Amino acid sequence: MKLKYQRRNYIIKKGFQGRFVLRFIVPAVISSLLAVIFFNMLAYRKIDTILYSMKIPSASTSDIIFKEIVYANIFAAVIIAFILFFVSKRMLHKIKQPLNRIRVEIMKVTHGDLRSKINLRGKDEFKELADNLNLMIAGLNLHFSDIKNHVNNINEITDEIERIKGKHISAKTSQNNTYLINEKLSELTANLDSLEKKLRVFEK
Amino acid sequence: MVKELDLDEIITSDYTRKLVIKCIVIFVIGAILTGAIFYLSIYKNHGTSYAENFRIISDLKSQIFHKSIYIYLFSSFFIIAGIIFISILYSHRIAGPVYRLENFALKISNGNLSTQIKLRQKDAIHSLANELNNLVVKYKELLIQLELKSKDVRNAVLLIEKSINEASSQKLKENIIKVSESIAEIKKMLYDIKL
Repeated sequence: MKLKYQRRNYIIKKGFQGRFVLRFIVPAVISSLLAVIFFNMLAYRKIDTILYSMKIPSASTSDIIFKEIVYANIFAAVIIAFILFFVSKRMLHKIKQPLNRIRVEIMKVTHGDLRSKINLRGKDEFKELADNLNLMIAGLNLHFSDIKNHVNNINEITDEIERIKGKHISAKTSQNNTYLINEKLSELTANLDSLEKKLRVFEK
Repeated sequence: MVKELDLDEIITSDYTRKLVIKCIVIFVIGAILTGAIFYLSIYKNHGTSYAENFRIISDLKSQIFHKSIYIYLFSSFFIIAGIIFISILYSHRIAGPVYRLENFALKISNGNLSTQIKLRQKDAIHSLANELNNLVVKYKELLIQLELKSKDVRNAVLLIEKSINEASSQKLKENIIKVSESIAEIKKMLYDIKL
């Protein structure tokens, strides 16, 4: 039986992930360059010192510049650690800030504020997420606006029915009032139908 | 009033610390291997005479520059490949959940409140996914309650119609009050929703 292999796509957001990766590659390239430059400086200085001192140590060529190899690599490792510390801190801040703004607005919406809008700054990441969430909030706002309108209509119609019912009437006008109440009931039912339709739009 | 949030909750400090440490480890391993390769590539035992040693050291001086360039270029390729691999993995832990949250938000905007979003354990931004899940639960429960109350209103309206047909004034009055009370409860449920 053939096995189905599901290939996982690791590059989902090219822009964001590209910038993310670049922030880590650049320090590595800089550190490597600095390691080469520093090593050559140290090695040349050591060799020149040996050549001009007229005293050549009885060691292999590798052993002569071994310390310089080690120092250059330690120097590069320290540089990359230093750069990565600041780069990662700044990068994390750039990622957290918009996400935190998004989260605050989502919490507002959870507490009922459908007027919320997520506004990110020009250079912020996650604009697409903010746009989709704003669409979501606008959608909820629209639905609940309709729901509230229907509820208010039903409330007004009910009040009118109560007023009609509460009027002191003679026998002649009671038939007229029954007709009016029936009319209002039709209106009420129509609003109730629309309200229930709006509530059913949501898949629960 | 939404209280100020601790920024650390969105992405934990563990996330960047582990990524930076892994990048440094890759670089250090690369540097050690570079050093080892370079050490072996320039190895030459010392000579038997001063003149021979002088020549060997002079040769070393002339070789060091281009050998160091080639070897560091070669090892940098692998170091950078390793760093690219790790940073893609880590960026995926943010990009993946963000992509899924975008789709989730679209589902909600299309009226789907039946699902919740679940992120993998190693993914970042769990707190944002949890907030969105809370939002879905809140509005789902509200709508379920609204549907139940609207059924009460529907039943009360049917009773009003029945009491009109039966010309029962007292029952009509009671049923109108039932409708008013149910609507008042619905309005109370919707009170916190600001449009």
